[in-house]
Amino acid sequence: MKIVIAVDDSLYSAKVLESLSLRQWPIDTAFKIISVVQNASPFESKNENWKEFEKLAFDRRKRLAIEICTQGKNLFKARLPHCNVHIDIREGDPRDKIVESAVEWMADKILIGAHGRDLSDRVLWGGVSRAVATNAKCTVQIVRPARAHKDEKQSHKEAVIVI
Amino acid sequence: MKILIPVDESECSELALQSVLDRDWAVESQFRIINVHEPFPFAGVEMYSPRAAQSVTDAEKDLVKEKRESIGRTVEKFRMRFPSNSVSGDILTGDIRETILSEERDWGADLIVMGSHKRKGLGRLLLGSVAESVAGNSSCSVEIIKESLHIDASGESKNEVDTISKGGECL
Repeated sequence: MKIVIAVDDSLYSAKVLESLSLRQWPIDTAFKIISVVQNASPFESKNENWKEFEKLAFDRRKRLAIEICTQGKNLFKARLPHCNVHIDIREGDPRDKIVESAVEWMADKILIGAHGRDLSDRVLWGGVSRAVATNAKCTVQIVRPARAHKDEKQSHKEAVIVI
Repeated sequence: MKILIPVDESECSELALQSVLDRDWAVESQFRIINVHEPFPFAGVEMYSPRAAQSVTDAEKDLVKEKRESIGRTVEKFRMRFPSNSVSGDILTGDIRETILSEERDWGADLIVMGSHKRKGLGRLLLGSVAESVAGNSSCSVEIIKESLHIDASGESKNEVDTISKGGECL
């Protein structure tokens, strides 16, 4: 079975990977951990400084995406030595690229966190996971690690107290 | 792990059930299969015609009976396939989305597996919209089963390599 796991650079995604690595998977399962790096701003600026800044921010996000995917890959390899894992880093709109990547690889299933970096726990499922669930031709699992949800709420509360 | 499977009489539900049956689950996994019956929207029909009211009630009773039998068969199938796991089934009455979500909370499900109709806004019972609503509002993981090409490509997945799209130099 071929499974695509879509992540971003959020804490939630790291917890999704952690919880998935603890599940039991059949021996012939192959995983592809995908992260899509998106441009920071939708408009183009002529200001050179801004362009420079944007490029820096983009490169940083990409480095972070590679780091998270590699960490996930190592985690899966350690806990599920019988499974195959590889990573795929893409650039563009995550909504399209995740589905595109699943179609290209002929994946049986897409696993995606209910929300990621862009949304706090106020929103129960993010735009990306909703779009993927709607547009994908294969089975989609919206992953909500129970503890991650609670922890994130807790850290959110703590942050409010600090402010 | 507690797995909740809401079903109706559609092919999509069959697909969802089959996908659960095809997998191997941990020994401690528990399954609960529910079919939600939405009461017929004919309240007050007896004011116009007692005969019509009777036929509506009879039709509703028949439908619930059919559903109960179908759930019984499904539970039996699950017990045969997973003899060491706990399997239960029930018919619940109420609004489909709300009932599924409240059952998920009350039972403490870890995963909901459900089918999704491809049509949007049409059809009778578990629509794509129900799956969407449950996926959006539940507090556990939700798996939406879609009809897909079952290609067994396990053999060719051995040589996969990591790919990083253009600009890989930032490594």
